[in-house]
Amino acid sequence: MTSDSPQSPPTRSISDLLFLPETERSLINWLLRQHSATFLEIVAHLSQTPEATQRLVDDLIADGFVRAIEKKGELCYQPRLITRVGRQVPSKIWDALED
Amino acid sequence: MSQIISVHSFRGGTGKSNLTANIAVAVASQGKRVAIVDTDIQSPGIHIIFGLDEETFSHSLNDYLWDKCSIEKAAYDVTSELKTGDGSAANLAGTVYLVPSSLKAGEIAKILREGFDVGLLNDGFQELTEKLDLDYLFIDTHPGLNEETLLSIAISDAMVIILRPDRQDFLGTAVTLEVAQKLDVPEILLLVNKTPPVFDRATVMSQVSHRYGVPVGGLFYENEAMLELASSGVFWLHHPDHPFSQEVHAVAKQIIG
Repeated sequence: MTSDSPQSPPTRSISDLLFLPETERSLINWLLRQHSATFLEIVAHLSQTPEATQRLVDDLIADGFVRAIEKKGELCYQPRLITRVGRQVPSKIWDALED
Repeated sequence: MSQIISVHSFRGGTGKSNLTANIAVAVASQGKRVAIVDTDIQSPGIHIIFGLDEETFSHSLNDYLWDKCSIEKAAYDVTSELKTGDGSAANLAGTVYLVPSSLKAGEIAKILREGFDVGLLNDGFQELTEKLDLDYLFIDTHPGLNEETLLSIAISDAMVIILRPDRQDFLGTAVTLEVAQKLDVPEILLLVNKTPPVFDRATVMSQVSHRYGVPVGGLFYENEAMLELASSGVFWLHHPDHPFSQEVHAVAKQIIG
């Protein structure tokens, strides 16, 4: 995990998923398979109240695991597990290999 | 509905790419539309089994991850490349596509240096499944655990784990299984490969199954003919009556379910 800035949520990698509690991990894993889902779909998937679901989703957004997007005029949520970070090796080695 | 099958091993040298190619082609022989994506970006090679080389493909998974082409453009229909032992066309009932990873040193170095968007890989799998109207998407992964491996585990409908009857493989497989269970993989199948001929099939299968509490889908013995073929083709097409080939078809049947 790395921090982007004090305002933005942290960048998460897929390995961070393994350290989440079961409910959160399972939800993000389900979202990965769905690619994205509406709030009502998430409520139905979790079988929780809309209020409890909203708290969970808000926490996951704040923690950088989920982002809200607009899809066909509807608010959807999708996982935000984005980058495989490059390897830290002296640049002269990379430069030689990429020639 | 299409199924994503990820194929893993905790350690290298288990014969993962060879088994992936054989099983995927066996599934295609049942009239299915199948694609294999080589996500082993650091040490790719499955394209060799399908007769592709650097000269015969212009786009690879690397190009898709660098936004240089669509994933569909990096998918090659290799069905007509599949040959039997006498060199004649295999004439499969289904179709096999392959998305190779680049085998150019500079391109491997570039992707390791710069990293890539793992989310793009997930989108690519979905796009490929839809555009090619796939029944099965096989993901050949890098041994051990890394970002691509974790993603392929997380999104798979079934996961095949390949191990040898070896203590190091046994311990590593336990790690992979723990991760798979955390990521809610619906179905897990263990395949024991490169079994020495002196080992009794029923005993090994029972020991492995008992140890992990997961079904063993197949057991493959070490064989000379496989070494002789040297990744120059899909083994079961060259040796259709070999016990290895019969086991490949038995595994394919389990996957098709």
